[in-house]
Amino acid sequence: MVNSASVSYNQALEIKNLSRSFGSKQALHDVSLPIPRGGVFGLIGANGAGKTTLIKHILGAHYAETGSVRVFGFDPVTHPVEVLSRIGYMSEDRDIPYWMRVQEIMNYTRSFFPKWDASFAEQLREMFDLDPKQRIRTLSRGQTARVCLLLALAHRPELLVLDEPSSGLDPVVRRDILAAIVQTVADEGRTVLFSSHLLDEVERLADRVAILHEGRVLLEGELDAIQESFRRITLRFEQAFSEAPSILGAIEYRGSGHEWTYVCRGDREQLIQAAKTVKAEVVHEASVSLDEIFVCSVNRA
Amino acid sequence: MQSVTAALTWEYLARNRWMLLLGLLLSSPIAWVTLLPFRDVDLQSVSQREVIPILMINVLCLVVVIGGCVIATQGSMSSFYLKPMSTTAIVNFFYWGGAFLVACQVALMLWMWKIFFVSDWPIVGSVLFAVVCWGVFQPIFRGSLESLSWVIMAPAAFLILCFWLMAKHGIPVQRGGMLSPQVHYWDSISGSDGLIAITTLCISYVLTLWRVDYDRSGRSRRTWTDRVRDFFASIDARSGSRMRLFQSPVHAQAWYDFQSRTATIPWPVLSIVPWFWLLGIIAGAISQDLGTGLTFALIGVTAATVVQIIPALFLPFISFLGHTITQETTTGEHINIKNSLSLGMSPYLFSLPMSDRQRAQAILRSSAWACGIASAIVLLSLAVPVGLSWGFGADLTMRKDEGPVKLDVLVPWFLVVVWGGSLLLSFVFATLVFTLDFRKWNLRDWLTPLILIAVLIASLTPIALPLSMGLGVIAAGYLVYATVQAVTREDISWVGASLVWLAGVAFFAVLFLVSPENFGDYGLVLGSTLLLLAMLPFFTTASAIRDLRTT
Repeated sequence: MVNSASVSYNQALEIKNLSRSFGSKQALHDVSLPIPRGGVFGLIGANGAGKTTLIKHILGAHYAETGSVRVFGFDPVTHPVEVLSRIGYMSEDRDIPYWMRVQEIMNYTRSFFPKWDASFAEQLREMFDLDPKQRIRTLSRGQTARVCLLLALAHRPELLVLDEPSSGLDPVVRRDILAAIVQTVADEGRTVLFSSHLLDEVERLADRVAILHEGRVLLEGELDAIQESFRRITLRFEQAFSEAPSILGAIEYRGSGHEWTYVCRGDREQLIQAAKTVKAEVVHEASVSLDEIFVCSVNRA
Repeated sequence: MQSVTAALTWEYLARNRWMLLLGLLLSSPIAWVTLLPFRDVDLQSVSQREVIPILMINVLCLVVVIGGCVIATQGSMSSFYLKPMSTTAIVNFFYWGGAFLVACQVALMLWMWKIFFVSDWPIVGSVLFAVVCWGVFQPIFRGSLESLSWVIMAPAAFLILCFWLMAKHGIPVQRGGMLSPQVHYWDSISGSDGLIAITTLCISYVLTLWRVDYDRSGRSRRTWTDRVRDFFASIDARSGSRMRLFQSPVHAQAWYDFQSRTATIPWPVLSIVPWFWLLGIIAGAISQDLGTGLTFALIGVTAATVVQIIPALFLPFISFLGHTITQETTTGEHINIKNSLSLGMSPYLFSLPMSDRQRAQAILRSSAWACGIASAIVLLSLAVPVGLSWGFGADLTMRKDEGPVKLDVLVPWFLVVVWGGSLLLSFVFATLVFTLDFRKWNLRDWLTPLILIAVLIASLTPIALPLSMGLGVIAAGYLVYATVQAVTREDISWVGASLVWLAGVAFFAVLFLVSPENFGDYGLVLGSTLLLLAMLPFFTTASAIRDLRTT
């Protein structure tokens, strides 16, 4: 039983051994993610990886078949009001009622959140250049996304959950969304969880990331630490090879003859030592982008 | 496919075939509600004058419902504009194909009613009327849906058709016309009927063709009706500056539910009542008699009251058809998921912090508003003739021969049976989607519709009374169980539950006092069962929302 002490829970989100299937399709498989308060958490995965399913568990839209989900210490299924009043959510589908006017949906949503900041909402509306009398069905895709963002931010949520926030949007709206994320965290020290398959965004914003693939967590941790653990090294071998020689920690390779480029995971010194044992010389070394890490991890899985 | 017609037929039947079934299902309750009281009466021994007006109202409702469902089945004509087809081919397919479907469905329904209720009811005249109605409304509804010309033209055409239907049943435009001795069935198609039908259908066809051709050409037009529309749009925009603030989440959610779902319930009443009043004014002016006009208006109010059940019934059917949607996963696998949108619930709404109990309160409040508004309009429409007859001393005698049936006799009957029944039934249907789970096939989740259907079927059996009583006892038993469950889960407070039961007992007492004298034991059982089913949503809605929110 969760009591009021949960308010001071030090984890924004705690997902333990969560599994979920729909029919014969295993949507989530033994997912465990601790997400501390503060910072930006990026959830990366291809379409159908299980990102939205995971977010729906956080919102209490799905039962945990096995395992558990806690949001600020509360079970979102049994304590929807306690959980949802702390969350600002922007769905991938932007499924807000299309027949309402901008001002109407602001007033409507406001009634559910006692902490709704009316002046902040108005400030956002002006910043996003939204006409309060305009009906949502007449808004462009970008404007609709801005309305959703306004509704998610205006009650100053402790946890901002954005499901594919930039999907299908032009660069100007994407910039607005990214700025909102940065501001939410920088000004108020709150937590942001956002899912995306636009990895450059995640790389720019996230402190921590998790890579989901077919319902499994392939990688999870501090973004810097993950990027540190991956290296791209180009090795020159004494003799030519028709196939890439095996290197400890290598995940992906390309090249031919004497020179082969590897993407490796592991400690840098160990990798160089491993190269020496196969009589290879490191001719180039570089860090790896999140994009490459994602592709390598998914291909390997 | 062998031909364009075959391909189109396959396409729309494959996509929307259930809408055809919906027409039949939606039109059935109207007949049950209006004809059931006559079930125990030997209609052969009763003058047709009592029955024919009711049959006419049923035919009108049937035409509206089945015509609407055929239009919904066919979908938008404009989706065919980009196909390599001539406008004539498109119009032929929609116009004549639709007329065929309407004729078949109306004939089928009338044949079923003939078996169940009125054995000597002729079918052919009503079918011809339905087909002519279909044709007349095609140039109004087809073409650019942006134009509001139909707002003006549709009621005008409707009034003309109503007078034609009355004339074919021998009803004179005079006081007590519907109950006058010359009233008769429309049992044969005369040469003039055929000529009127063919001429009307041909003119309507040409107008439809012209309208669709104009629409397909993409030419813009700004008629005076467009100016009317712009005027309303400007009022709409101005009203945007006075948008409300909500006092509580329940208030906000009830407003949302009313706007997006239950507002459809009072809409037909609001639409129909004024036009029947207009019909009454015209009839009053022709006959130079206030009483005649008021009588016509009263019949329209009766029809509107019964019609309020249709949109309420439409809500669970739409949910039933759209409740489960199939989604393709990235692995190519198909999974069935709940489509909460069909219940007026989107993931966005479920992301708002509100307890299931509050959400249930909002839904019940919105459903009660909607049904209450419709019923209030009806009561007001009844009060007007009473006031006018009192003020002007108008004689509201329904008929002059064989003893008069006066309004003071008609109104209590109307209030209790039609008004009360429609109010309770529309409330049951409006909340039905939250009392049953369409995906589950266990008895508990289907109790309300099963009991409703069973009680109606029971009326056709020789043991109607004990069978209906048995079903009523089952409903009562389940209601007690649901009450205990709801209170245990804190979906409703003890006080709230007690108030619902007290209200139920009070309604039952009224029913008990009125029923035996006027409607007999079967009426009492039917009314009690309906009352029990209307109480059920107060105890089951929160639980149903919980199931809907979390899968």
